[in-house]
Amino acid sequence: MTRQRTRRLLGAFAAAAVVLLAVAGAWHAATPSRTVSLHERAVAVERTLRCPTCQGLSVADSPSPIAAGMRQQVERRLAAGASSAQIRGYFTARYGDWILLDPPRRGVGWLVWALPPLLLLLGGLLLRRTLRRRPSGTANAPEDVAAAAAFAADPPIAADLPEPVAAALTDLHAARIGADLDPAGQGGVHDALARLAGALYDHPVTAAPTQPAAPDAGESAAVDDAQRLGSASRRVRGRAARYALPVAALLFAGLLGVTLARTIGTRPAGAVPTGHFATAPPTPSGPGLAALQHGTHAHPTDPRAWLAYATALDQAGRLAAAEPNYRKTLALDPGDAAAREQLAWLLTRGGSPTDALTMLAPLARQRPDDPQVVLLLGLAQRGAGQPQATATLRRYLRLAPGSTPAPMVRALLGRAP
Amino acid sequence: MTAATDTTGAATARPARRGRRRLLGVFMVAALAALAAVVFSVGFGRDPSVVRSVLINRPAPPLHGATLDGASLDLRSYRGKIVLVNVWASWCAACRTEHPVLAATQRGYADRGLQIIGVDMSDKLPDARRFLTEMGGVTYPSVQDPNAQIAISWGTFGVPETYVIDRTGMIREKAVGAVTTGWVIAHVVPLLAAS
Repeated sequence: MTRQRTRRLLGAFAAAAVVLLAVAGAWHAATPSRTVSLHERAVAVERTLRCPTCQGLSVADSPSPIAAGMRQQVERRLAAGASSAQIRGYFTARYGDWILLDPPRRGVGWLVWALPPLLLLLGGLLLRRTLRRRPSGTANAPEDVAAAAAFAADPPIAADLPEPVAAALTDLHAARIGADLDPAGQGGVHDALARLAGALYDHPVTAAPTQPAAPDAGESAAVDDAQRLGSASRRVRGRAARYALPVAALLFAGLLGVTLARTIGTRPAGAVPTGHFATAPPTPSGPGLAALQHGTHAHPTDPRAWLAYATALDQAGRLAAAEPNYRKTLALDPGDAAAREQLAWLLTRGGSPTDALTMLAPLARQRPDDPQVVLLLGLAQRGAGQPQATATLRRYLRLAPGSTPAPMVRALLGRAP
Repeated sequence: MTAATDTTGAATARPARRGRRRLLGVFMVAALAALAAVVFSVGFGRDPSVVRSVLINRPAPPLHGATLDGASLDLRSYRGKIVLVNVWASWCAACRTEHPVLAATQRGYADRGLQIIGVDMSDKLPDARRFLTEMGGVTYPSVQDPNAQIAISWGTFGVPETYVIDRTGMIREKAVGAVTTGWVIAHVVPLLAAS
């Protein structure tokens, strides 16, 4: 008993020492012992800011031009007398809370701060509970050992007992006989009793059927029912526990699959501005492009191969690369209307509307009333600054008033879309 | 005898408590799995390199300085126009891709009240001038921003980025990465039509 108390006292001392050290450390860190230079103060602020261009670097550590500019900005503002909080506020007003490496201490931010200590506390409590629960067969609580002794003094029929309890009971009898023969074997009896207490804890034996003063039949039937019900619900819970992990894993995979399929499915294929920075060239359909380029090598005289490659480049926003491939298509098949239309549109967008008009001339002769041709013609004329552009675009609106580009054309003409 | 009945009583109570605890554990594991699935799917469904600008629907920050030609430029003198502020640099590959689109937009919509202003960030003057010569000449003015101070005051994450400022001087939209004709038609043309 005294040894236990000493151990507890030592434990309390250790815990108090750890807490004291932690508090002292925090105190020391919070109160600077000397005057710090402007540069040191600037670095302290820069360490709390996230570099906008790079991933996972602070402004203090990043070599990127924007981070260098931010370091200048921090030093200038500190020199002008701004506080660290004011400087952080300047950046959050422009970049949002994203720019702070530490989450803000408000709203959801509090959750991020509070969760780790809470989880640590919870973990500690769980650990304490687990340590307090004795492993079977050793170090039982005195009341359990006493109960086990009482149980051994008046055991039920051995055949009704769970196997470990019966085995522990047999061991106890053997140990007692041994102790009778040799008083030094008293420790063996103690251990066997502890093992029996553990076995009883793991496999509770609910009632001794051979009790001499049995209660009346009705009452015992009710007790039996209750016990059967109890064991049934216990079985159900046991099964639930066994299936918990697989079911949780399935649930996780299923939910993730559904939500991912939804979020990824709504993204248009090959969509542009997705926020690639200068370091990551915007090639959303890289592998597809490579395959199409390979197609032009495999069939260098097939205009369709060149057109497919040109169209993919065009859609990826690589206009300069698409143009020669359109021209290659037209060199192989000058009658390819699709290539001619797409190239004309590319030239209009790329700032060469006069070339586009030349490109469209044969189409305009062949299909003067095709809305698509009229639209391309009108846009190219508009780009080239020709006055007939308005008339051409109006003609397009008459030919195809309900088409997808119609609202855009109306907007160009200055009408309500 | 009394000890024996106590034992059995305790024995039935304990597993019941244990069962409840186990059920609670099952529930907690399921809840954690669901939470993790939601967090993961939201995270995967988002482009981590794009952060929605907090400046959208706010007044545009000040923008004034010397252009690449040495003239002085102030954004305030463009009030009443739809202005695209494009942050670029000669060393940025995506800026090279988008420049023809921007030049065509400036040429095509200038008469409708559109003005593009470039911010040449962290660049050297000769490099920037060479870039524009290669791109077919100057179509719209660009302000020099050698230390990225303008870009930072506009909350720029990287180059290229393009801000749309409406006629009242409010930032209405921002594109991260190279802009396309489709983006111009979707986000700029409607503003031009609205007046």
